[in-house]
Amino acid sequence: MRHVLLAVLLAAAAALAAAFVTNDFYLRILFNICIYLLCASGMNVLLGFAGQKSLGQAGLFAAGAYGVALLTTSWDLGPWLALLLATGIAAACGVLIAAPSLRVRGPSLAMVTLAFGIVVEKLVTEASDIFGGAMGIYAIKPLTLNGDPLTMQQWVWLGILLCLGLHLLLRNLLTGRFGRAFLSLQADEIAAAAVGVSVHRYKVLAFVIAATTCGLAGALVAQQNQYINSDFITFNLSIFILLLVLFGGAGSLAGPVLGAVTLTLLSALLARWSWIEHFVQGALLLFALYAMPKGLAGVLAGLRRSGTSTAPRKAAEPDLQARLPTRPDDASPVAPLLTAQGVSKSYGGVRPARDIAALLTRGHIHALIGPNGAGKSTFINILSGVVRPDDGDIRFRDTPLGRISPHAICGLGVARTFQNLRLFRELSVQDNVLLGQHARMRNGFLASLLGLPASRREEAAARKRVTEILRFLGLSELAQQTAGSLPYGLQRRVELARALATEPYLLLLDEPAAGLNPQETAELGELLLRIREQGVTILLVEHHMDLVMAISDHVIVLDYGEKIAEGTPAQVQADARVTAAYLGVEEAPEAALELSLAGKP
Amino acid sequence: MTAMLEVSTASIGYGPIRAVAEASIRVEAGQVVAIVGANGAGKTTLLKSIAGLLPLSSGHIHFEGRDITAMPPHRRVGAGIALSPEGRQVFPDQTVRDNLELGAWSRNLSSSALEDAVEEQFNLFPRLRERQGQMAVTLSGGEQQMLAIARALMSAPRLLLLDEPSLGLAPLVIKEIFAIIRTLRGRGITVLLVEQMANLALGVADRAYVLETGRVTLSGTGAELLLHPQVRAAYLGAGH
Amino acid sequence: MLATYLQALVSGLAIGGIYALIALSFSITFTTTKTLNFAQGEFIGVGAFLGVTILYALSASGDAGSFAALSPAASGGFSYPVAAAVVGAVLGTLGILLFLAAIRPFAGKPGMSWVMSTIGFGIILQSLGLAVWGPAPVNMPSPFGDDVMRLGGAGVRPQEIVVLTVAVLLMVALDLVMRRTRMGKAMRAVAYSPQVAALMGINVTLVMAGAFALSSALAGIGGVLVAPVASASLFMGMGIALKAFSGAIMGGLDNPRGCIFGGFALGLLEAGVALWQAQWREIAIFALIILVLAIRPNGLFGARTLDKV
Repeated sequence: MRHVLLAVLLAAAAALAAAFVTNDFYLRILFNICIYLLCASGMNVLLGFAGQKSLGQAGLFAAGAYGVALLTTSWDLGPWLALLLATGIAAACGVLIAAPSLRVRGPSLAMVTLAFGIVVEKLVTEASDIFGGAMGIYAIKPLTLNGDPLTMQQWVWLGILLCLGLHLLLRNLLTGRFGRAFLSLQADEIAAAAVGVSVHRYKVLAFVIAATTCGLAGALVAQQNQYINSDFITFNLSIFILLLVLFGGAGSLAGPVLGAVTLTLLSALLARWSWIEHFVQGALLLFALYAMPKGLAGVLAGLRRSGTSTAPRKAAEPDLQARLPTRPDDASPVAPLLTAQGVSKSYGGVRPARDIAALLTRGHIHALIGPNGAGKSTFINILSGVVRPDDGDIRFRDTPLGRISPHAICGLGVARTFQNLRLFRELSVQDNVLLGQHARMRNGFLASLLGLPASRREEAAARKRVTEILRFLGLSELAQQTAGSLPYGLQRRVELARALATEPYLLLLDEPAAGLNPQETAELGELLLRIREQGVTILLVEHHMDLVMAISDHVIVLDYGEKIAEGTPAQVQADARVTAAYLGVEEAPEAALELSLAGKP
Repeated sequence: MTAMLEVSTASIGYGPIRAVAEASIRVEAGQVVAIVGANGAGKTTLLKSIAGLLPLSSGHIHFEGRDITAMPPHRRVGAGIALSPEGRQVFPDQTVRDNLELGAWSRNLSSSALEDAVEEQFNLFPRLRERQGQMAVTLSGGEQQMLAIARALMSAPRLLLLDEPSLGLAPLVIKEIFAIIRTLRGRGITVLLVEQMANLALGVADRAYVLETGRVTLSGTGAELLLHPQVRAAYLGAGH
Repeated sequence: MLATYLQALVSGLAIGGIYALIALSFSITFTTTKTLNFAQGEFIGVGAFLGVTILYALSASGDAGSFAALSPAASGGFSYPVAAAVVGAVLGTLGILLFLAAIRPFAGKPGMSWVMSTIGFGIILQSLGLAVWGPAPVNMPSPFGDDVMRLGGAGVRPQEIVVLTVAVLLMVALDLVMRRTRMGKAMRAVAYSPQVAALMGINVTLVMAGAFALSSALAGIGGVLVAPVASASLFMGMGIALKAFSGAIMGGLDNPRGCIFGGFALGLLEAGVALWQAQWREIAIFALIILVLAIRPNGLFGARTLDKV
């Protein structure tokens, strides 16, 4: 509530200031600030939250500007309707630019967005019969109030109003599950998919939001000037929009405001000397990257925080009374939870999976063991949808898993943790675990954007469930800590909490005890037993034999991609093939005999 | 007598992970020393930091009396330490001969001296001479392992580090590789070997250390540890 | 009719030679450092202008003409090759500076900040260039004159032949260096794995800096080669670099020969589209790139990358 009040107050102050300024030059600067704030707000979602480096936003600006130009001149539509439609056109273009971006990574993504921007720039320059080229389009209808075109002052007020509205709407969106989902894309796409975030859908959404705001900005500029030509659409504009977000503070809600105000004022100051203006922009970009990775917003936040010192908090004891949120399971308890037949996978010369068959029983703790390179992680990756098997039939709760994507598998009730830990390190413990609840929450885009009561209720319910999970694991005191700052053992626990938050029927754990000392390993064992009591089935890949033998109901042994043994822990331990697989071919028979005798009491 | 290699209370971490905690290892010249332990125990991490690929968060490494803790990896090769990395890592798009010649990079040899050095390796590994013009990626796993060892030997090291030479290889091939390790010891090359297959490593080692979750828990001669129940327990769990 | 096709072929090969050269320059840094210079376009433009400046300085005696309109004699004799060599050296040094300032601080860190830092470096370079030389394009005479020759009825400019020949020679030389020389093998070792290369005793940082020096030198020389064909302007480089980058991506950034193929293919394609509708050629090219990337994200010949999970 405080934030909303502050925003409204700021907007009111700006509007009041505009009322007293009569000089057109200064009003124009205020208007430009609003325009760039609109661009930056959307770009912040795409770059700051979703982490997609788009270098072609000028193209979306053009879509809005030329859209409104053509709609009001060639099609003779009313100005307000044209504005609305042009914004829609820009949003559609956002889908266009998102589509190829989904498939490419790294420099190729930058390339595709850059190419898009250039294509649009060339299009509006070359296709002069439609777009007017360098001559541009004249007589664009300006917005009107009571039949008269808006005065400069009214344009500024409209700008401030739109910025305020956009800011509040985006704030609703970004502080809830959508914001968290975007951040997870930036942090780790694989982990995001594993907790139920549909990576493709959210990337497209981020692109569309950025396109809509840039398009709106472009349309407003065209209508205010009543003129548009290709000089407006340049690579420099795309870079400027990027800089607005980077300099202001990517990923922060105040960032776009800070960036838009400072950079527009700076631009206005230096406008007379164009090469200096560009130089300063380049220098600011480098400066922001070196010295202010979190932008102005980060600097200000750092100043505020340096006053208070926070002592690192310790984990609490797990609450034995806490209950995990689970989904109802009305199937017969004797029916197998998961069956796998003939699962095979090969990469070139390596075959990490050869015709593996497995059956997981409800309510059991299953362990998957084997020497390094046996194919254990590959099997987990196949079950969780990260790797497509070449062959095999896997059924989970009688549903064939086939070619389903990882986030859909999570939706069916399979959760996992990762061998090399894939936490969203920059997010708090609570946000990490809340992301586990992402797919279980029902509030859609519109409800979240408008901050409807239904959306708030979902968020509150999810938080309650997360609190319960944190209590279960003894992490309640650490809810607000940054996940990446915790000691290793606790980070593993947070990843476990996140997986449990997806309310799984089956929990796949890839080496959960890796890097833990004996005490931590014993605690983990206790935790897993309690999770089983809550009705969750577990499949555990592990090297820590003590842990495996102590808690497992059933052990499967892999070697060179094949299953070589399975049974109870005692049966597997006594199996000669298992010993040979681990310790190697016996060099001296007497030594081997001594070894086996030494183990007996 | 100062040992050839002395690792003193080395701790190595990646971010919040402590992979190795206060490990101390001694290798005397002319010995074969083995480090065994379950997967994830920190063996490869320790070897990589001896080669200079990972920094120590605390502790020291001394080689032939010099403190090399801060020395970058490309200079340690010149100092006499060579590593055959985990998974072989031969340069796949270059020929067997090219791989070997790159191994001698630090020695800056004339072309005739380089030729002699390559010949020496072919004498030790005749299979490689047969395949010298082939791209390294076309070699079998065992041949790639031989190539990786030969490549490391090309830098004329006094200490050879071998990371999991048996990984992913068939039993017969593993036997061959370990026979080569014995040959190398016969030629006076000091070997520090990291292995998951404890029996094999302990069978060839003069001295050995057991690593469990980053800590050295046992040390002794190879023969002693071969019979020690804690070794088996370290892999298969205690109490059986 | 044949003459028109022949003309398109020659100019397509000529401009394709430049695209291939620049594409190769991207591949050189990408294979060794997994990064590249997003300001390669500015390097090309600055290279061209620097070339003009050197030609102007070298022919300070009377018959040079003004800076903005050099007479053909300015490129005569050894002046042109000398200018190219000096530009190569200066831009190579600039490339090392770029490596130290914009790549090394960010390489390996998540988030690909090096994309933006190299863009920033490029913006600074371009603005400095604007301050020194101004925005107006400048003419660079060709060492073999600008008179159009007739080859089988087609109008061909001597510079186009020069561009194609020099580009091909450079690429063949580089291919040989990469495959046959010690240094080239060391670079390929770094490209496979900087860690394993270090185990051989190779100073990986030096190799990476060298890769950037080489890549930037090629960009500068590319600018000097292409300037007599189109005039030298500080803004010319962006389009060339973008198209070269597209060619590289189509061929697969990690495959040097694929990049060369991609560059030539793009040049020929552009000449072909120009025959049909000159003004649409850039748009057609870029639309094609976007399409190819959507279908084959790693390019036509690139290796498929797998994430380790």
